[in-house]
Amino acid sequence: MKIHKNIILKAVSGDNEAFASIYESIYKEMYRYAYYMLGNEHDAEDSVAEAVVDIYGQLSGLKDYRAFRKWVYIILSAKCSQKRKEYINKHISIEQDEIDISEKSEDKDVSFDLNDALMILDEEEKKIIILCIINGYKSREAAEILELNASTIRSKQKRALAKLKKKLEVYQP
Amino acid sequence: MKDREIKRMLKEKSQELKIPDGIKPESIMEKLDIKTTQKNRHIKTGKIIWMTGTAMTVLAACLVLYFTGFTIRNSSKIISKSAENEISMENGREKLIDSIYKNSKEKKFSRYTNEIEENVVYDAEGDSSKNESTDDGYYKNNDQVNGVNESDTTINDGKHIYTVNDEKEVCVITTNGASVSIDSKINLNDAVNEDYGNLSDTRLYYYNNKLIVVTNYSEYNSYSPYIVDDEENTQDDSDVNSSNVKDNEEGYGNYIYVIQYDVSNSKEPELETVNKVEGDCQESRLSDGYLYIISYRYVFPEYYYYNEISDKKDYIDKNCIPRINDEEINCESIEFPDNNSYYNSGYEIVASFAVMEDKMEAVDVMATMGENYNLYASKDNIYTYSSEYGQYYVRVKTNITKYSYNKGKIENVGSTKINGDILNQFSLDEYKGYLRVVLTERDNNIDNTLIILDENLQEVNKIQNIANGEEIYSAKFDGDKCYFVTFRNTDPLFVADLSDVNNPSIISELKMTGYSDYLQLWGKDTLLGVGCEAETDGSQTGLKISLFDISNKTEVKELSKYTDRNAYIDNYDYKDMMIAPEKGLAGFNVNKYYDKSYDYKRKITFDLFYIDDNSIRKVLEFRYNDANGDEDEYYKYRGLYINNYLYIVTEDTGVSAIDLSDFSVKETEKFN
Repeated sequence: MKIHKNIILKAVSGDNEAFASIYESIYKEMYRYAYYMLGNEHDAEDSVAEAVVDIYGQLSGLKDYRAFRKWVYIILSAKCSQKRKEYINKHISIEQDEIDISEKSEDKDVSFDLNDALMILDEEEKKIIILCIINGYKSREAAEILELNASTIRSKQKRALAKLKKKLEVYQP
Repeated sequence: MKDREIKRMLKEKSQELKIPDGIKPESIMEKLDIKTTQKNRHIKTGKIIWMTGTAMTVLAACLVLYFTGFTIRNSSKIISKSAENEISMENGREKLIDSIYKNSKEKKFSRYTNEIEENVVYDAEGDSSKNESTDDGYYKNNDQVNGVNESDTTINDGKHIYTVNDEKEVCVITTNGASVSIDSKINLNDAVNEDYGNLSDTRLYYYNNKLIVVTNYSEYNSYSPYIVDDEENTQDDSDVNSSNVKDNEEGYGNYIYVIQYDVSNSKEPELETVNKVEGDCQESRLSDGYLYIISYRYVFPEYYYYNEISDKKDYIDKNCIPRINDEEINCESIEFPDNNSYYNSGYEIVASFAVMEDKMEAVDVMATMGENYNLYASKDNIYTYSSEYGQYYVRVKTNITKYSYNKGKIENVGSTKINGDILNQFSLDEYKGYLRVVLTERDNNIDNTLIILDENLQEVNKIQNIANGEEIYSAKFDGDKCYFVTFRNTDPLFVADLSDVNNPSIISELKMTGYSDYLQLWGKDTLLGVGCEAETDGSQTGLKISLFDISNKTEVKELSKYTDRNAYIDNYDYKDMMIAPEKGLAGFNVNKYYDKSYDYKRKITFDLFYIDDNSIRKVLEFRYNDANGDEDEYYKYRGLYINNYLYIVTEDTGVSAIDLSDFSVKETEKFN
């Protein structure tokens, strides 16, 4: 979602209403990013919440309003990385009865779990798919956020889509 | 499935995700204690105290159990696996077309193999492809196997540095101790007309005064994801519009360009040859004056998915056999494993080129129906591999295909499927004809296996059930020994003895906190590990570089370590590291994450370490300083040394010379 620069400037200077409206514009994409990076609701919620606290607390230090989105993603991404490192250590053996069915599909029809599907990508590919396809960023914008070349973003995106295609073609409507 | 369809699927699915109430604006504003009339900011940074309330969900939350049945939709375009599974090599092309679409005409094409006379490969003085450990005075990129070069974005020949600048340009830089100067810039547009597409993933090789560029070219078309003018997406790139879109009905649309320049005169590089391979470049290797490109090329070009094809037979006939330099490859070069459908599958192409005195010539090609995205190459064989997924999208098996290569000739030796998942190219190693692989198996439990295969990829022996509950984080083979690290809470560094293939065994296990992502043999009897330190419960605390004493293989010890809290190394690309044991130097792109700083930023610096037999010492922390002093920029660095100078290339930006006697930055040249 587009955020007008004036709102950012206001928020930076301490206007809480402005901050609230900014958060309103970005919280869903932040949650989706965290959720698909981490794979579970609780850690994603924690990560977003922790990121917002930091963002709010340090907003007045933001020098360039244009860097706002990138800054948000850097903070969020760092929170996710931390979470993931803590979280990855809690291995489970995949016993049938231990599986937490938190995202069971309600449909009787064939449906797929996006989280599962994204597991086949490596971390960079996942970030690119989340940013570009799920959160709707253009390759140039994603390039800025991820600090990669725009054409690298495109080629990695293509490869990630190819991998996903192979897994998901059975679910074609 | 068309790109547009899958993107829509992904987007729609993601919209269904329920956003928890706890992070909706009302809740968050309450938690932050924001009343919109107030300006109080007494907020503690750091963790929010309120808990999500449940116990930690298991990892299997990601591995969702759902429905068990699903149908495979057979569109009219798909050839299902009826009678077409046994296809012999004779009349290969006819059978291939047939199997893509039942009826076809037979056509004959000349065999695509050029006869190359012996010893014609250009072999001037100073064969830089040799990668012995003696110190020639300059950094040779850290290849996995001596003599088998891997491409990179920044390379050098002992005097000149060649670096990719913004994908479509190569800067040729001359070094003279403390000074660096840009002698020339090669614009790849001269070789590849980029008007109707774009280049990406450009990589370089140097061999005997030749600069070899491997780059991927993608055509723009109005039906590709790059320009979409439906309600959902707006134009992706402002520089793509109707004037540079061709919408070719024929032609594959994605090509690998392999370009040879003569760089004997660094101020005037000369374009010599442009070769073109259909597909996306997965990997490549240069060995003994021959370049091997591994490409993946879908059976059907993208055009097929987006447009109505009136005469499918004709279309398949013209567009579904891969081409090199616009010439079809001979179907005798194509292997057909069992396959269900060709609709979304493709060819794995291994193509070789000879680096010659004034040109580069195609030599041989081998294609298999397959899709192995990864590669390990020994001096004699190329192994491609990819994962097969089981239930819950867990990587449960690995397909390996073996090609032998010699002076450009390529043969498909065979394929196999083994249980387990391979971490990266360092998990495989060929020694005396045997392929040793270390894998993590994720079936009912997680554990690890070390397997030995013979030259026909048949299993000889294996060690199973290593480190239950842990995964492999790094591996390094050294002759008949294998060092590998598994991790969950503490990190055993294992040593396996593979000297007797009929009796492999684990001979040593060193438990310690943290883990290594990358292992490197360092000096005499020492092993370097680069990774993370962690607490005893497994939670990670920052960067760790370790040095191990492996003089006694049955009792490995940790000699010393360097740690840095709040720092870490991204390990997407191991070539980001400068590894120079011959010089006692290692350099890394280190991310430093400042948790408590008011100025909330992450810095990346190039950190240089001096590592000798028993100590690790940081000697330099380098950050590119723009003349404008722009603190917001994040750079990626490549380091290399020539004699007593360190040269750091700040990618797409500039090059700096650093004196290794006092680590002072002497000079910087900008690329643009």
